[in-house]
Formats: sequence, C-alpha cells, structure tokens
Amino acid sequence: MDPTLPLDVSVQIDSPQVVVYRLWFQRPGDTGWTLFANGTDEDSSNASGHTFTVGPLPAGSKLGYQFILSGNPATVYRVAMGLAQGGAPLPGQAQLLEGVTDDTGVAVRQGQVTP
Amino acid sequence: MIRRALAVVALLLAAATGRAGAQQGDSLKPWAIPPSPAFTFLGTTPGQVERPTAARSVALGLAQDLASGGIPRGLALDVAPWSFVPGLRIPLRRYQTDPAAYALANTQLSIGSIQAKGDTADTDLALGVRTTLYDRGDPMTDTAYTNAVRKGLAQCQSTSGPTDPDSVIVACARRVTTEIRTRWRDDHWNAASLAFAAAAGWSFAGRSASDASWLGWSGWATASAPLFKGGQLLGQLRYDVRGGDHGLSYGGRAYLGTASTNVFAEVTHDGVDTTGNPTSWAGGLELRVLQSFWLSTGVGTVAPPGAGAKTVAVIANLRWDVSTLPRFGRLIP
Repeated sequence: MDPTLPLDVSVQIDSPQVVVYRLWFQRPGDTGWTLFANGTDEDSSNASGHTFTVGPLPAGSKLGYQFILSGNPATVYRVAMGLAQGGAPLPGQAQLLEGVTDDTGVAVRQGQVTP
Repeated sequence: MIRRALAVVALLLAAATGRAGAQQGDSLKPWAIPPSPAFTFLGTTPGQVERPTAARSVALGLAQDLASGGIPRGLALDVAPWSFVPGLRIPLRRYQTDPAAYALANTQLSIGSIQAKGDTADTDLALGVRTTLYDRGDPMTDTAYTNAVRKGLAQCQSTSGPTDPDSVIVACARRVTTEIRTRWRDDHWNAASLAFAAAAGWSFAGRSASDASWLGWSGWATASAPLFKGGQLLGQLRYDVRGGDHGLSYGGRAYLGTASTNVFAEVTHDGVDTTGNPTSWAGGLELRVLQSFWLSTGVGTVAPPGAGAKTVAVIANLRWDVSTLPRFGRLIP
C-alpha cells in the first residue's frame, strides 16, 4: 500500500440476501476504530459494486469490516470486497466472503485486513 | 386454555415418539416436494448434509473418493449450481425482478449414496434436482419485507469497530429476521407457488463405478393458489418408476382458515402402495398448537398413504393425529 495515496474499497453483493455492512480503519497507535462506510445491498448490488475512498492511511493501518446478511435458510451467499489505489487493485487484498446462511437465513462475517 | 392443554398433550406425545425434531416428514407426505430429492429417492435422511459453495471442493472430494476405490458411500451433498458459474451474480434486486434468475437461484442439486438395502454389498447412488419456479410465499421476493429486515438489521451493527463477538451479532440478526418473517408469513401463508423436483438412481455392484444397473426415477410437482382471502388450494403429485413398477401418487387439498388453524377437505391417492384402498379422502380441523406441532381431526377414510409413523391421541372422544408438520407440506423457504 502506498501511504501517500487514498485507498478505494469496493463492496459487491452477488447473492440474494439483505445485507448491511460497515467499514472502519485503524491507524497504528489508534485505540479505537473510525467508521468510514455504512452501506447496504441496495448500494452494492450493481456489477461494479460500491466504492468508498479513505485515507491516505499510514503504513500498518488496518481496515475492519462487518457484513450482516439475512435471506432464506441454507442459501448460498457471496460478497466481494476489493482494495485499490490510483485505479489499480492491490494484489492479494481481495476478500471473497462466501458460505451458506444458517437455518434462520442469517450469516455474519467480520474481520480485519492490513493493506 | 384448551390450546394450552393440547400443547401439553402434544409435547408428551412428542417425547414418547422421541424423534419429532429429527424427522423430515417424508413418511407423512410421500407426494410432497422433498428438500433433497436424491435422499428421498434413496429412502434415507442423512444426519449431516454438506452444502459446499465452491465447485472445486465438490470436484476434489468426489475425485479423491473415486480414485480410492469407486463409488463413495455416505455421500450427502446439496449444491446450488448457480453459485458454481463463474461471473454469475443474482443479487436481491435481480432475484425480485427476474423470473429466470429467481428459478435459477432456487434450483438445487442433490447427490446421495448409501449401501444398498438388504444383504448386499452393493452401493445405491441417486442424483436429484429441485426447483421453485414461482413462490409468492417467499418473503425475499417482497420489497416491503426486505426493506423491513434491512432496517431491522441496522440495530445489530457494531458501533465501535468489528470487535463485538459474532455470537452477539448473529443472535440479534436471528431475532430481527425471525420476528419480521413470522409476521410476514402469517399474512402470506396461502400464497401461490409452483415447484418441481426429480431424482434418478443407480445401483453399483460393490462400489465399482463400471458395473451399474438402473434403479428408476421419481418426479414431484407442487402447485398452490389462494382460495378466497383465508384459504388455499394445494395440489401435489409424485410419479415413481422402480424396475418394472410405476405409479402416480397425488394429494389435493382445499382449506380455509389461518396459518395455524384451518378446516380442510382433501383427497389422496397412493399409486405405489397396492395394499388396501389406494384412494382416501378426509375433511376436518387442523391446529398448530406450537411452532412445530400439529393436531388434526375429522371424518373420512383412513389416514393418508405412508402415515404409518403418525402418533394418535384421543381427546374428548375425538381421534387427533399429532405431527411435527402440517398434513400437506408447503414449499421449503
């Protein structure tokens, strides 16, 4: 990651669930997380997804994500999250979150990455 | 008060049968669309069904099993083929507006294998497919429902970062989803739907993939339509071919009431079981006393085909059939 350039984070929802999500960043030395994106499947269902811009962020910063999905029980879900700078994807930083909803139709995926 | 007493009776009977929570219900309604046609064809209910999302994991698993000796036993796979197609996307908006995408998203393939029944080392394998072409009882097709869930899920989101335990968020999302879904279902329990399923099977000598014989096939169809404001017409068909035998089974039902209480009239025909009278009719009252316990009583000929596992109680001089499912199953979601 280039610490002099802003970071573009794209989110694309590929499956038929209601999705709400939030994205945060945390700089080295920060004690908490700072929210920079709050979206739903309605924003992020087109082919190019929805892109949020954050930073520039210093080296060692983290990005946090949380996706909450609700659909029919035991159905496949797929959410793609990509990182880019200056229009070029950051290699090895794409997150493909996929699985099957539980017997109530719910799935939750959250975590963090260091670009 | 009566409802509570019936609930207690149902609980006692369920405890006595000891398998209420586990049964799939196919033995109660042999003509209904099965959740996994391959398993129903084989007459088995696997304890755990694998639902892989990636084609690679399915292919690798099968290839390893085949390489180690032939047809694997104990296969229990349910897969959504649309998720294997590279680049194919069915987001919610498309699911709600594109009938072809809806049908594709609701198409499921099942694969199952077991040791053949009886004193034999043969392996039976079945492939099944199930699709729902149309279902107004699927809440995910209704933007009012999905908007309400979207709004409700917002209260489950963390405020201070991705640090809350998954279990807390899952519990919140389940509560929101279940509350909204239950209300929605109570208003749409009699919606129109159309679904099909089929399965075919082979028997392999031992586990050898090169020595197979045809077992037969089964097909299912289910259609429903609203009957006035508080009723439903439901028709279910099943056609079976096994060796030289074949038969059509069906059930048709009209009922009026609510999602939990209804009066019904039904006719059923078992084209496979040749013992006794294959056609029966009934009319009566059915109550849902708890989320998964149904009581029904009425007049007519004997219980529907395949109902041998049913539990019966006599309350106030009436015979009540106790079941974990309504007498006629509805579509799965």
